[in-house]
Amino acid sequence: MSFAARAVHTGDAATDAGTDASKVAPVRAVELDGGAALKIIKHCADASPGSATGQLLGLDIGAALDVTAAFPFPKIGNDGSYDPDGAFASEEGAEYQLDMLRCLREINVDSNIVGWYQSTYLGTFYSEELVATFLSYAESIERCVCIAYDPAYAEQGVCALKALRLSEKFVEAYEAGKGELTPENIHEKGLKWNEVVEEVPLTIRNSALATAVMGELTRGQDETLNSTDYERLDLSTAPFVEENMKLLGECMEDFANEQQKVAYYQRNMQRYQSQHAHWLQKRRQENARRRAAGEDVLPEEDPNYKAPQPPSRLENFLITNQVAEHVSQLENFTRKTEAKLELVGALAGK
Amino acid sequence: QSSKFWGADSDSSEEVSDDFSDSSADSSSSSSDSEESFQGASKYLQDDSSDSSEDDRRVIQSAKERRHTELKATVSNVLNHLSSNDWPELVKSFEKLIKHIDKHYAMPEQVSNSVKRALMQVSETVDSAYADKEHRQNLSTSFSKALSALRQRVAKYMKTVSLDTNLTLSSGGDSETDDSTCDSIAKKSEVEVDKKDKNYLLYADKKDVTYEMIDEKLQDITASRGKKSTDRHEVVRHLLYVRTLAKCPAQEVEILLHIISAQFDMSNSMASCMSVATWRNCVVNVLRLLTLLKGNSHIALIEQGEPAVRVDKDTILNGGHVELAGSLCAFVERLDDEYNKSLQNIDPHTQEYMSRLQDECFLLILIDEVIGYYKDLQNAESQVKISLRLLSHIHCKTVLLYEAMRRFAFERLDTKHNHKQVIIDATQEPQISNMDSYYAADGFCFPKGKLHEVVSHLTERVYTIGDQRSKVRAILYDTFHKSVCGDYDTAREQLLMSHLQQSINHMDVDTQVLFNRCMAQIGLNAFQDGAFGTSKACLSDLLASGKARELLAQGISPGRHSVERNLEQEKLERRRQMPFHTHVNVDLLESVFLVSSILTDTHDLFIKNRQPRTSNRSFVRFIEGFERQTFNGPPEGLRDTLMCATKHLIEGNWMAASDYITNMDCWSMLPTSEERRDYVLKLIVSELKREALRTYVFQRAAYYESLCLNTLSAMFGMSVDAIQTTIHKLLAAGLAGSCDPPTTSFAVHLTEPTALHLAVTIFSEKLTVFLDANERSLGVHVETEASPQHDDEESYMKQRSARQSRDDEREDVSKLRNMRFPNVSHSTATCMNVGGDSRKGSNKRYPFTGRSL
Repeated sequence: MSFAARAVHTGDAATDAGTDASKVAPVRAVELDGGAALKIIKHCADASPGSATGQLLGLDIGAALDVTAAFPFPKIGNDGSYDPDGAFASEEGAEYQLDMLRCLREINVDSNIVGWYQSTYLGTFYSEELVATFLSYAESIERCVCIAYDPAYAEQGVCALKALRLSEKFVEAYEAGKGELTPENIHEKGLKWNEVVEEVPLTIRNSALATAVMGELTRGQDETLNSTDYERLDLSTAPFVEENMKLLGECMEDFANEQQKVAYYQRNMQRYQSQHAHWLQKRRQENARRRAAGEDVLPEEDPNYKAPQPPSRLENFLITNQVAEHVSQLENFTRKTEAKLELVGALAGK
Repeated sequence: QSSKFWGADSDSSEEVSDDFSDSSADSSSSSSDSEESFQGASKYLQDDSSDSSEDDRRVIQSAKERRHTELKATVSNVLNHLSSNDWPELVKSFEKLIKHIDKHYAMPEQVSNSVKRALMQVSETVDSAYADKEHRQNLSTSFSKALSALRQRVAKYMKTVSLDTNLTLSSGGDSETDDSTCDSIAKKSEVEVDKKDKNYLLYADKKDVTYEMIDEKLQDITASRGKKSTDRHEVVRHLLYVRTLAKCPAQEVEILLHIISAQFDMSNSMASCMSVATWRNCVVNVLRLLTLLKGNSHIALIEQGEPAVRVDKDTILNGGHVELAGSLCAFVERLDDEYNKSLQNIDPHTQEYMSRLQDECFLLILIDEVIGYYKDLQNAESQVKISLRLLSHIHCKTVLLYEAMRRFAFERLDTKHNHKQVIIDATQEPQISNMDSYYAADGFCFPKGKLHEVVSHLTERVYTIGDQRSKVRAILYDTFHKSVCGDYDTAREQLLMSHLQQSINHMDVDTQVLFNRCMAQIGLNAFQDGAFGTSKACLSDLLASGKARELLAQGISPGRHSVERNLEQEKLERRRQMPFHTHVNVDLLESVFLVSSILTDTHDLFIKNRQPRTSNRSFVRFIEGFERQTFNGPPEGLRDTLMCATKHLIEGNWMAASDYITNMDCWSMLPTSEERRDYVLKLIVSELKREALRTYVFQRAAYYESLCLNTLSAMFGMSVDAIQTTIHKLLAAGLAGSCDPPTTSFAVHLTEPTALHLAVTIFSEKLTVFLDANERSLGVHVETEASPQHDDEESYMKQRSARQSRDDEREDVSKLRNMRFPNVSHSTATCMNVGGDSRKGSNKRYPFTGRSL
């Protein structure tokens, strides 16, 4: 009921915004309904340590994107690995999705697709699949987000929900390069490595009814402490740092692979340049001779050799982002841990 | 001559018999019969003459006769076949005829008229037969084939013959200068008359010769220089004679200059070297030149540029100032090069090599004298060049060797009987015999002073007046020399002070080779001093690559690298090779390196999560290779033996290991005295025990709570004190544990590194690898930038964009770096917390170790 009412209520605003800058207006904020958030968290936490994905439904109104409902995609296969892109493309998945949407519309839930959610493990969500999925979504809906939930991170007593979207700069650069992220495009757009994916501020909003129920439930209880606060005081620090370090090591390996590609390209380029210079010199001599003899001048483009293609920067950017993600996690974590250890040390010393 | 003909004859008879056996399948024709009978006769003749007769005349005549009859028979054969139109047979006999003519006559025109006529007839008949198409069609296939083949063959042959005939006609037919065709004395005299106007000087009476005549002759020779037709040996001989006629010192100097360059010209390519005799002769000439120059200060050699206008005859004769073009420095350098080249070309295991080595003392004398000459002239550049040449000869000599050489030189200079014999044995030219008398007469002598005095004198001079490269070379020579003489400490310090390790990669190849030799020598020396670690460090660069021979310029090792080398590079490399007697024994080097590695690095194999870059990779590779073998038989060869020893050492059986090592043959090659060698071997054994202990501790200590030092002492045959010392050293180096003096035991505190520990280590390793790679590709970028080719706009744009992207990358890298540091510090902070216990434990024990020491 409330959903429908609100949709009607805000309908004019949406059309206004649409006439203004519907084409370019990016998502500036995401409002996640409490119920949907719980659904997402439950699905992801249940699937952990495997991965899980699902569909986000909601309303695209004004600057903020309302996510009001979500439903999970079924797991494919027994191995627990789940490829959101593959599932989306496959017949069954699409059918399931349509069925789900139809059913949800029948019970009067918003049946507007606004994005998808997925679980991650310690922030390892920067991949080419992510970019590809974003782009395939962007074909049908202009504004879409991905909500990532990190069960492992949540164990530290943090809200581990994140809303992500591709930055416009990146999309432009990517499209200008026709699916390739070439250095020229990067420079043209002035794209920085940390501008590939943007994090959108995410707020969880409950309906008045839900808030009232919550208030009713907690009435008469001690509100200063809850279970997450206990989680925050957990002193076992090693596993989290260790996992992050391992992942960082893997990132370095990926980096090294990229590095090899670059080195290979450099070698090829050098060879090509020397060959080309040689050829050009010969051709110029030939042309000078021809000019002297009054003949037609040969073109100075070399038909035989082609400059080697520089390796794609996309992977590079994504790895950099990944590293930045790990590092920021580590930084947050160690800062907190240090404080905790100080605290414990002081307590023990007393 | 006769023997030559005989040889040719027997050849031809063999071929004939070959032919015969080929055609014997056919019904034999009359020709082959006659051939056979003739062959038989010739055989008898041949035997006869070679056995008994020594009369040249008769032999020659019989040979000629035989040739004629043979020829006649062949010709008649050809004509027979021709008249009967038997084409296949005709092909055979015609071939035989041509072969015969080719063999016995230098020119086909010299054959008798009858043969010529026969040839013409053949050609005509064949042509007409070929032209007659009907006739051809009637022939059988084999016949027509033979006919067409014959036609082609004949046409070809006639063409060459007729061409030659034309030639002889145009030249007048009088050009028969070949000795083999005309042996009449009259002609010889004619030749001499021809040459008379040119070479009159050579036959004229000595008194008649004037200055102008000599001058003219010299100019004549100069003009003929470099021409293909000139006989270089002849030129030298003439010049040598002319020299005896010289009217004044200035002229003699001029002639000498010509002689020396003519002698250098005698070897016609860079690859081949001068003959020993010529070389010696040349040394004498240069010495003579030197004496003249020293004795006559009015004669000056201009080394660069053209000399002033020639002074007229009178001033020269009267001893006026004369300038001549020539360079003693260049001569000496060339002589030195030739000497090295000849040493490279002679098999070093022969007597010839030994006798060639004796010549080195003359070279030393010569170089020393020339240095003196340049010192008087104050020509710094040449002085440095020549000084380096001298150094290159003496730097690898020990004092003993040098003294022996000096004695040898003195003996040669003093007593004239011996040297004459020696030299005449080795050479044929009589001029050489007076070589030593020059030294004696003109007061040449071996460089004065002791070896190290000479070396230090020379190097100091180079330091003061030389350029950068010469200084570097001088330092290296000096270092090598000191090292050879056993002065290890000075040599090492000198090398370290020179800071050459950083810059040597930018030097020329020869200097790099010299540097490598220095390192090898110092490595050997360090080993003899018991500094095994240093020895290993010195040699690891040389031996790890497996190209030690190439790096020391002591031979070209075949292998995968040889494929990439092209011919030109190989030639260059061959020219670089060191002479054999200066070689550093590579086998010895390898065993020294491996033994040093065994003594210092075996325990390294068992240190967990050690940094891979600090380990001795080649050694580890050898061990892994050895362990990979399914069956290890008794060791054969150097490396195998040492790996076997390592294996035993790892098992804790140091006795067996020391047996293997001390019984190796190569120790006899260590260039030291007997006592020193024994001392080194003893050092090796004691160090081996220590290494066995270290290996044991690292390998097995994890299984124990504590180790009793007494037990260890019994196991490794070391005193308890020595064991304690070793263990304390290990503690200081980071072994987790502690000593307990009251119970003389060693408590083990080994803790496994935590998973976090490992993860951090792995991460930091990967990071360094990545950063290195990044720096490298950045370097490539910068390099390409350094040589800009902005000639076309496209590449310019490309480069500009590349530069931009590089800036971005650099930013990324710097960010990464900044990231790395807080990161690592954080993680190490946590590490410290996690693994802090063990560290604290070992830290606490430090004062402990100090006290017990």
